[in-house]
Amino acid sequence: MEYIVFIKQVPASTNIYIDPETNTLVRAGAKAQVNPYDLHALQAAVEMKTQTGGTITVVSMGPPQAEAALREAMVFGADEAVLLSDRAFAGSDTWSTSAILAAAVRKLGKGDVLLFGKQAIDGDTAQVGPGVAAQLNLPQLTDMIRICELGDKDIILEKRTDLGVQKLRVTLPCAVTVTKEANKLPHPTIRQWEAAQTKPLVRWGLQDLQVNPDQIGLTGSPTRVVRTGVPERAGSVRMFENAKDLASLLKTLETV
Amino acid sequence: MTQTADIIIIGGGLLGTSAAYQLAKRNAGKIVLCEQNDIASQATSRAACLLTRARTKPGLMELVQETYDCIEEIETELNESLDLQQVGSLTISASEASKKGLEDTYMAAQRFGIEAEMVGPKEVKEMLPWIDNTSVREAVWMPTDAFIDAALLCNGYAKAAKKRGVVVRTRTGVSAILHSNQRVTGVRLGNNDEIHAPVVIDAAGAWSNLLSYPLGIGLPHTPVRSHFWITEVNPSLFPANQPFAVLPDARAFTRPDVGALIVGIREPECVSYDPKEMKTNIEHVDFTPDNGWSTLSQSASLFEAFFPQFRDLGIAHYMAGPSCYVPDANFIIGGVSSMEGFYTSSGCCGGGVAAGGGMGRLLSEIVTGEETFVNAAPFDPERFGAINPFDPAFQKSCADARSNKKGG
Repeated sequence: MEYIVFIKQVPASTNIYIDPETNTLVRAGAKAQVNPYDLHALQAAVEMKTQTGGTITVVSMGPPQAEAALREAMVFGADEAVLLSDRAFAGSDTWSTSAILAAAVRKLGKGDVLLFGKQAIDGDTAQVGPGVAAQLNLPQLTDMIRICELGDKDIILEKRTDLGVQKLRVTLPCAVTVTKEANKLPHPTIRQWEAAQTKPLVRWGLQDLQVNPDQIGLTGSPTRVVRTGVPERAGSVRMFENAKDLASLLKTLETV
Repeated sequence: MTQTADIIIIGGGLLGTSAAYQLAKRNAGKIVLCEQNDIASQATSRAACLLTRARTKPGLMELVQETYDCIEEIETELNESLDLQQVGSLTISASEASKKGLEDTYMAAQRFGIEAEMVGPKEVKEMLPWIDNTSVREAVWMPTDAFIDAALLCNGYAKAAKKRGVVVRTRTGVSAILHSNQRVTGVRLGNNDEIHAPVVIDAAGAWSNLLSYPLGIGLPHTPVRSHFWITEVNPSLFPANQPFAVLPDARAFTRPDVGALIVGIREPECVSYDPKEMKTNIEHVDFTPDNGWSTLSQSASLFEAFFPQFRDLGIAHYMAGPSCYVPDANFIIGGVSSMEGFYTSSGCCGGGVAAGGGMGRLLSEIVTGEETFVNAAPFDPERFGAINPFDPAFQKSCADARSNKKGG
């Protein structure tokens, strides 16, 4: 089975800087990390591969520094990596990013299960995984919490929904987005780190991919970010004097 | 706005807060401590926290003993525990080269009346379940050694100082030390307010030279990266009450950490920093872009002789911070002849947790003109003559002091 895991390098600090002109994130100089959800997607791939065999390819679009994120993913068990880096990709919104990632999948010419973190912690859109699925016309399952069965033609997974848990059979190839609930991340060892340093990593730019240059980058992206801000918290606290009041509230919530 | 004080202390780390406590104990006057971030938030918060009692350098055992005494005093004064973990220590020798150091440590302990016992490989294995004792020749077991959470200790000094009247001002950066006619006159704060005082103590650690150098005072230390790793939790291999261990042959130390093992390994070539690289907060300094992995990979082999599974053990955390090292690996405590009223307690050389209480006491005795409890000469800030702390060659000599360190 061939697994492709898509990862994003995101700022490690909460002190991020938004370019006031373009309203996009300024990444230069900020300490970076692998988007935490993406590591859970990778771990899901590692667990699936343990059962089925195969290879895990990790793909990231980003500046040259994103190579560090790919190396980290290889420490956590990916076998090979592809860095999609080109100035023409800069400023791509989720739709353009999906188009670039889909082009990378077509170039790889493989991929039974495409895995994504449920969302990136910097943009929080949760759109890129479903976007790639749409671009490649693949069935998709979002918010995966458990791997149930892995067959040759389909897989059975559980996903979290607002109302509970759904168990779904998905035909292959498919795209899956993964939650933190899906697994526990192991701590890497020195030996794993050492092995990851010599695993293969290729770099692809615009000329390597079959993608329309007019539909990528800042100018090719249909999204315009008007303003970015942190929402004000408007929470209120109510103390319950007795269990009866609490029970009646729960009853009200149940009927909502 | 201008305020006045008798003594201003710059820095809310271990050395600043211990000086504040010791000066307050001596009723040294109106004391204001200024810290640009929060108490214990910078290098202090990244310390490995070992309180090794037996030392071979002159005066050092007295300084460490004073820290133990301070901990007891402060716990009584504040009526709260500083959570001293008296797990004992093992200094382990596996070679002829380290045997001499081990014997010197044992003799020093004997001389100073520190409980110490020579033990063999079997006892070492009983105390450290993870160790492969094949290469262990002998070890010194010191049951009264302890470690402590450095942030708790530092806050203990600060709280006890406050209780004795010291004004502790956090989020209060000092932009300059004021002076006139070769005498300090106070400090200017980041918001341009001034505090006037005839005595200013520069205990700003990695930032101390940025404040002293404009006065023509080059303090002979520079920030050097110190770091350690924390393994995944495995309580049967790493019981929480196991002793901390010093392994000179592996350039390493270990310490229990709630079921995990802290492992500090000194790389052969330590890394120094220009003080200007420290920014205003070490949260913004990326000490190791690869989170310490390449250093660990390169330096783990000596430690593997004692712990063969180490390379296959999950590493859960990496902690790096700046320790200020001095070319002779001795602290910087006292005043300078060129500027009356200027004092410093700096250059912790990785020993700020263990010796901080004593450093504070020695400095406060110098400031108040009391007879000092140890000979202050080895710690004289001017013992190297004039130095330029921003000279890369000087900074390298400070890094070498850490590279050549014998103990943990």
